[in-house]
Amino acid sequence: MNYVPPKGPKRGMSIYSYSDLFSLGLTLEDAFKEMYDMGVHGVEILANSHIDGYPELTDEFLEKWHTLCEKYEIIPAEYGHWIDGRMWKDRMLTVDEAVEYLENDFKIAHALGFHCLRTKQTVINGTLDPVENWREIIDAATPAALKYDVVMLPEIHLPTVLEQKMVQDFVEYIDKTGTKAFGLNIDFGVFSPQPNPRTGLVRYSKPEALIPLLPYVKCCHAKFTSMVPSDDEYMFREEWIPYPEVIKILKDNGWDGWMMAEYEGKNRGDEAYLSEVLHEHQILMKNCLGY
Amino acid sequence: MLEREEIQYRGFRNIYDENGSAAGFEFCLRSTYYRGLWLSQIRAGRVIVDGEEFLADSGLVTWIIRGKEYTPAEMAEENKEMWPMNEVATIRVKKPGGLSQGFHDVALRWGWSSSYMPPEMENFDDSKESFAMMRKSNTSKRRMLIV
Repeated sequence: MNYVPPKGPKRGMSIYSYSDLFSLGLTLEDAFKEMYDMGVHGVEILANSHIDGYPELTDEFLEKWHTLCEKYEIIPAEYGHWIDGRMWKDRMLTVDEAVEYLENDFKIAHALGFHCLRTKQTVINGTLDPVENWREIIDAATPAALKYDVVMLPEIHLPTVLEQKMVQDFVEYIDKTGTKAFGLNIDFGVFSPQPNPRTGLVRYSKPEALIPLLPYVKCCHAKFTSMVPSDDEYMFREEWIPYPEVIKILKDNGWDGWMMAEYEGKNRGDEAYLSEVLHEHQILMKNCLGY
Repeated sequence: MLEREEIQYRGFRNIYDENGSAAGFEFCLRSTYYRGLWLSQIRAGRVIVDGEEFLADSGLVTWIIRGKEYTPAEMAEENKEMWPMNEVATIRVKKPGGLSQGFHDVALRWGWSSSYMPPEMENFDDSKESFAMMRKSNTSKRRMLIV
């Protein structure tokens, strides 16, 4: 592969953006081709969604994966997976069971070339606080995570905001344990003052709140829901999320990592609309970054 | 390719026993959720055709996923197999005589658990049509013809 990723924030794509088309027959290669068009070199896949034969990793998929990454100069940037604590109707997943699922994901992620994992924990309330024994689960999974050289990143996502106690708890855990197996993924939606479509609540963080967290942030989700034309050097803006300010903070503070584009707006199943909005968003990020 | 509707037109047909008598019917369902589902995550509810109800625990309904046939009770225990987001499940219903030629209103109540979402958002009650997280209704339905 000729591509060498630069230090600093980098443009990526989460295949989540293609969900509505993927379930109708769009392939990983279709998405990779478009990423290549847009100069996007980092990818996030969702384990449960985009790996043929999951929870097994087949030789066929492994070969296809490496071939596609090579052909389209794509770097495995983030592997999305879940602890499905309520997968049974009448009881919660035990710690041992959770670790069994996690280890299987670590193994697959490592074989596919991923280091960062977006690890979704089981939540217990409307502000998405994790199960009370989350430390126990992460502790128990840590030896396997280190063995497979992966880092578990809970995603900080609205209605959670950066000021919430949960975030401080995660930071304290990392400081106290000195762990290399746990960090943060920040979804840019936390900077959106758009009222929650379900509850009508407005809840968001200012971009500056990111600065003290940056040493713990290993990956970001470049969430967007609505692109609008902009009569300035950016050409497009996200209607609600202050991309130029957020990306400037990442750059000025020497943050190094991937920003996975995650489209969560309308018409996700309309291929023409989707392609255009993905391009608009990449233009915005490219103009913020200068590359 | 799959159809955009959740209930697929392709795959809707009567099924026959070894004597050639119609023993029931089946149809295919796709999931519009963005991730594959562990079978134990699926909340499989009743099938309703032209107002006639076939309850999940009646022994009349099975789901075929990746070539294996499960009762809803078996699915609820199956935590290692997954229903991929880009494959259909076939819903098979026993009904002696099958469905008559003409239009039928086919509906299925179902849902899934999403452990990363607030627990109250995944309450599933298949006794009535109601709001369901991420797909507006807990009921997939379609009016289709049987030849």
